[in-house]
Amino acid sequence: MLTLAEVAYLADAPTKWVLNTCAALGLDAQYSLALARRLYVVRLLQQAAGCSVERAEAIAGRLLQAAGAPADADSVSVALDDVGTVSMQLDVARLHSTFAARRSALQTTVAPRVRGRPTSGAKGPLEAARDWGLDLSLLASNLRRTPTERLRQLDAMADFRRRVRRPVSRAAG
Amino acid sequence: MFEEMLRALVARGIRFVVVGGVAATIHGSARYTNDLDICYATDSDNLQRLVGLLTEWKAYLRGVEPGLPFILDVRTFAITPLLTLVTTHGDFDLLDRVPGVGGYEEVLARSEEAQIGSVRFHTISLDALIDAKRAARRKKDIEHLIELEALRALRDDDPPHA
Repeated sequence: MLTLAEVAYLADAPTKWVLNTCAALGLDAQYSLALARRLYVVRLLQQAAGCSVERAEAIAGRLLQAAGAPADADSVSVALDDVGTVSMQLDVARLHSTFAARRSALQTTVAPRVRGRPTSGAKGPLEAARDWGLDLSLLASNLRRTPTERLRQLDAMADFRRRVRRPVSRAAG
Repeated sequence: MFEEMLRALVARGIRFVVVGGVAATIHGSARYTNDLDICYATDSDNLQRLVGLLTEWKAYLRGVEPGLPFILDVRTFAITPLLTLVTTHGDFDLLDRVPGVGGYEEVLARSEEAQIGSVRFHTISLDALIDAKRAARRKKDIEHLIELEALRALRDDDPPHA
């Protein structure tokens, strides 16, 4: 299950829009990936084509085939009015690609902001770091190195981690 | 790994500024990072060069199941402000702007030149990195902020190597 903020990120919309749209369309209040994908398409159609949320939702439903699985076609034509006088071409492959990129970012990098005001900084930064448990001597020793030496040390650590992981994954595979 | 990635970016003439954990390391952070984060210029020539490099590096989305449709082209950059990728050279995050600092030009204006081996590149300044962490305000940013502010205090007390 996702949170409201995560659904809003995936749908590329404010949380208020998610709440209002779910209420207007009577969509399930359970925040799932399928709901996020559906809202992403609704939002896109609403913004790009000026569709009402109801029409956008109907189109999204057809496109995403209820279960939320990607459609087979790379591109589909969708009617924007009841009689099909106006239609538009939708790049389904790109739509799914962009949504997948948002999922990737959410999974790896995007996280909710911490609520409340930032700390006032009444303590000095060094005292705050000591209280947090940071080893200031380690930082001081890093600062005695050149930026190149620091980056090379990180590189060496990354290579070491790679070398250590590889035999483990081979053994597991 | 990072040196090789930076060398390839510079060799391709890609305009970028290193931000995130690698930038923090350059400023003295003791935290380990697994990925290279850059903020890139969004002109189409630069994007085309990035697409070429990422295609060569077989870039794919990180943290999602394999086999999802993923189109890597200039348009993808235009509609995806944050790309989190895994490549043959390592994990690679690409941002079109840095929270609390701005887009590429603003980030570049608050960057410093760094060098590893013969590779020269721009890295976000410690002050700008602190502003970015303050603006992002994720839990891990707040933890990181404490270290970065301590580094700034230590550096100001005893200016580091050039």
